[in-house]
Amino acid sequence: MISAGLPGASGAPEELRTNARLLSLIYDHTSDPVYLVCVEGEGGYRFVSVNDAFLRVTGYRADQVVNAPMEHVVPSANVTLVRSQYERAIAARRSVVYEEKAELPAGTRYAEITLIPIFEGSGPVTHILADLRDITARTLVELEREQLLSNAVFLSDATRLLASLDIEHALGDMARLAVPYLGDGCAVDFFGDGGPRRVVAVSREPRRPMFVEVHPTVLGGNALVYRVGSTHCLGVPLLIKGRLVGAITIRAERDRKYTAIDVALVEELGRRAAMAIENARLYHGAEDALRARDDFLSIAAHEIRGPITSIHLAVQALVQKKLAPEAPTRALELIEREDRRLSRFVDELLDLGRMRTGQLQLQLEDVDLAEVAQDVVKRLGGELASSGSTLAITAQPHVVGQWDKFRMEQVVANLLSNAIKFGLGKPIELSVSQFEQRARLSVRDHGIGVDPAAQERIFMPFERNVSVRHYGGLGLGLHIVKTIVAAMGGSVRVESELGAGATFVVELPLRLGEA
Amino acid sequence: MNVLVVDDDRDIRDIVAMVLSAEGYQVQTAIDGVAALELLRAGARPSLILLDMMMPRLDGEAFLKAMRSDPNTAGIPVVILTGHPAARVKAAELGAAGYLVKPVELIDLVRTIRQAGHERGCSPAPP
Repeated sequence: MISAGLPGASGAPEELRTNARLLSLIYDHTSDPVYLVCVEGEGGYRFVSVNDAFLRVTGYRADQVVNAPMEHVVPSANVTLVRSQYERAIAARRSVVYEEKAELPAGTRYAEITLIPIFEGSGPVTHILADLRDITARTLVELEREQLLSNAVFLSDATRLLASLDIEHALGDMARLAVPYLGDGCAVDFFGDGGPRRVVAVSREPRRPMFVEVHPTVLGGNALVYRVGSTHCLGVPLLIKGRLVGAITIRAERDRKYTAIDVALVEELGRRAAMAIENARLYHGAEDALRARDDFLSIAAHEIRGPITSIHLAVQALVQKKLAPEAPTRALELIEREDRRLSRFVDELLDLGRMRTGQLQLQLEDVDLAEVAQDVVKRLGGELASSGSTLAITAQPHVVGQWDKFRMEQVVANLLSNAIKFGLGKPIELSVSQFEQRARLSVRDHGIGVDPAAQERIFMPFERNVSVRHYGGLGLGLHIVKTIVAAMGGSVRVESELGAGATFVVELPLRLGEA
Repeated sequence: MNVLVVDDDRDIRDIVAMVLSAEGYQVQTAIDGVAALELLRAGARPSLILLDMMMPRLDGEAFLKAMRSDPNTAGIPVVILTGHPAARVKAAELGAAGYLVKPVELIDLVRTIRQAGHERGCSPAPP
């Protein structure tokens, strides 16, 4: 028993001596920390006695406590609470119970405290005996359970917000939910095409914007707790099938330190956000594909209607003999021409089907590229003449490779048709050459050109670089060119600027499998 | 009465011109809206314009707008030629004198052109 000035410790009546003995027994045999304060009046309390358990649990030394004013023992954050509880016990003149969390030399402690006021008869309370039950372990378990429960609620709320297909808006809502639950600021970055981009930055205090950059470790695909000055930060990567697409960064200004539970929570949040991003991307991709298909159908309908209209009118005019004397021959030629146009159209559609299922069959034979080009030019002579464009051909002789003749004709015809169609009636240049074991075909026009941003897209099926309303065509020509050229081991590219014409360059190995 | 046929499809232009010529109309053709506007600006005054809607460079709608902004040509009646299923609505919207939906029947072509011309008090020269 560590005490000073305990009532009845010296020269006291028998009754008090008995009390002291009882107190001493309690002190020595209880595992609860116990202390006794002396009520000094005018709000003053002084520690007069503590037991060993008290010293063990709190981490104080006896000389720091015994005879010290209450304010020197109780942590300053708790003084008001403790004083009010003392006053409550004094006023009630019976024991009171309360719970207290204290930052002590031994660490954070939770205790359930019973205060027993000591007085004689109707006299004033002279002492307060405090019995502390250490409930730290139990409280921590409860707190963790509460945290896990509220984390689960948070995650469920966040998941609901992320279900939106307007993903940037959804991530904004998620970040606003995360502040202040997870910290004082939250940012979401995207690392997509076109470099990193911060899509969301939420801060609890507008005067302190969320400025923390994404940590290199997070860029490497790992979650991390780190500090920037006095700011605690937690970063997690957003991964889709192992590929980094973004990051969530959270910061806390105050004394919040991120724990393993926080990391697990934000990692899970990151997984859900990544999934939502991927879902939105897939959805919009499917939507775009559907739109492209709808456009294609309406163009296909337009492309069929043209020749059918011509054939329809020509046949009816012939049958009803409603043409001028020299016209029937022209009408028949027109029917033949339109008939071929429809056949070509059907071939293109069938080719598209074959190419999609990878069933493009090549019949390889020795083919002279310059001859192919000449044949195609002859065939497209009419189109060329009515476009107003002139065509200059530069062909190195005997550029011969093992290719599919029919498919090579298609390649040249599609490129030349495009040059005629988009060439604004200006000159077109076609050249055939060979370097080492490769043949090169280039078709150049001086027409409307291709926006650099669209240069990859124009080789996709159904894509076109011009308005559907302005230009007909299925939008399959370049896709067919690319597929054929790739099947023969070659490549096609475009060099162009908007309004400055376009040059399409095809390069092919002379034999499949030779570079 | 002369008709200006505006269509980027050469064969449609040709066959329509052949048919309308046989019906006694004088026919001029233009390969798109730009070419048609050039003709009008050069002084051509057709009694009627048969106008395709989907054309490169300047489409049917843009041509109509340009044509109507010039008081000299604003009053020329226009018959639109379109593949659009809602052609009637479109024609009303554009204030067209008539509409034809591709593929066109010969009898409809002749009748529509004749009616649109009649409203203007024009008729083909006797064949």
